[in-house]
Amino acid sequence: MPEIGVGVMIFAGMEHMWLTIIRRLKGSSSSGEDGPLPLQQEAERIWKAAGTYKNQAFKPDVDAGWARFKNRMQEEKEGRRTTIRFLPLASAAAGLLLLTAFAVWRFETRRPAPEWTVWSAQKTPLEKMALPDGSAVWLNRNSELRFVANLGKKGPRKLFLRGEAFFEVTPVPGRPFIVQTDQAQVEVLGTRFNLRAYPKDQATEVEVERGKVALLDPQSGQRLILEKNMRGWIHPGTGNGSAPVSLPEAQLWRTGVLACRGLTLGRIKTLLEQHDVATVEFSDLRLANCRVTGTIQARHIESSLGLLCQAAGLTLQPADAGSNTFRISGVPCKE
Amino acid sequence: MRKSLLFFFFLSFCVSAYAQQTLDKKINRIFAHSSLEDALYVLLDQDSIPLVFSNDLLPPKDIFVAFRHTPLREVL
Repeated sequence: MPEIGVGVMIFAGMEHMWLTIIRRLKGSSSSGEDGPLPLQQEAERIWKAAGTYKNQAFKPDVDAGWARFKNRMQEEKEGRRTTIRFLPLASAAAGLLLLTAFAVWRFETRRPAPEWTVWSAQKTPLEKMALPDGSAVWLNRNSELRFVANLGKKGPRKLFLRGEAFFEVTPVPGRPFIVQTDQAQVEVLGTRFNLRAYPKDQATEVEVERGKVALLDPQSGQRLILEKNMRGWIHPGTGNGSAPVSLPEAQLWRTGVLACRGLTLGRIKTLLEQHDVATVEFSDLRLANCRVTGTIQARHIESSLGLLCQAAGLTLQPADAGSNTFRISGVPCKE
Repeated sequence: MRKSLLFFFFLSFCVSAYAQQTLDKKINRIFAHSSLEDALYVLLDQDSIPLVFSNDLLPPKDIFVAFRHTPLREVL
């Protein structure tokens, strides 16, 4: 049987009993209900017992109670003493923490965020821009140079380059000139050099015209020291290296002139294409090994390159009329 | 038309005169046991003579030669 049903039955039974008691007290009970009920008897017994309770002697143990009370007081006092002893230390620590937090906050809010200067060349190169330290920069097309305004007051002069630029660095004692690219870092004291680091190339190339620079590969830790007429490169894919150059090769974009001293036609092709001067195709790939000497003018690319080819017994023809794509054909040079 | 023709003849004369001037330039040099390639580089860089040549076609020989007030046309 469910418990709820039992509870209802008990409740119904008790109600009946109380009604019986009330009726009997009022004197309106029926004859069948005469005689004490069990519950009534029990109630009378408890009532009598409650009446005799105050007559029993109650003797509390006062001394034991007092001792317990004293003990508890003593324990509370000692606890408070411990708390009081550590309170100044905790306060000092909290104060110090607050003071430090305040100092940090003030320092951060008072120090102004560095202001960046960004030079960006899109379709036209920027010519000889003066840096705040007196150095000069030529910025090639599709390139961006970023540096903190005034190049900072002390410490290294740090710049960030994406693309290609030529630097003419004014030496400042104790303040090295550092150019950071995606792959490498170039550190100089005073020099003229060309730095190429287009994201599409995934490499950094430096050519030193004067002075000395250090080309650093942050990944391998390799440090290449490049002197005048040297070219160095950091290429995460193919490796790092350096090579001498007879004359500046990488400044074609800036000067419009490529002086070739025994350059291979393959290298000339690379330089012309790197600087968007012209595209060169060979009828025979061995032609790329032919070495020539002369000067190429970017403005007169067809005539100047044609003259070099003529000296090597080769023929230069434009791929299409008016296009900047040229095809070199002829008998390969001896190797 | 006449002006254009005159300008063309003047230009031709100038180019020719420049070439003649260059070829008449006097050279004072001594090349002792140097390769022909190096000798030509010296003429290019130090005497500022515009030269175009194929390095592969030069004979791989050392030269010993002295020029004293020699016109470039004779040197070449």
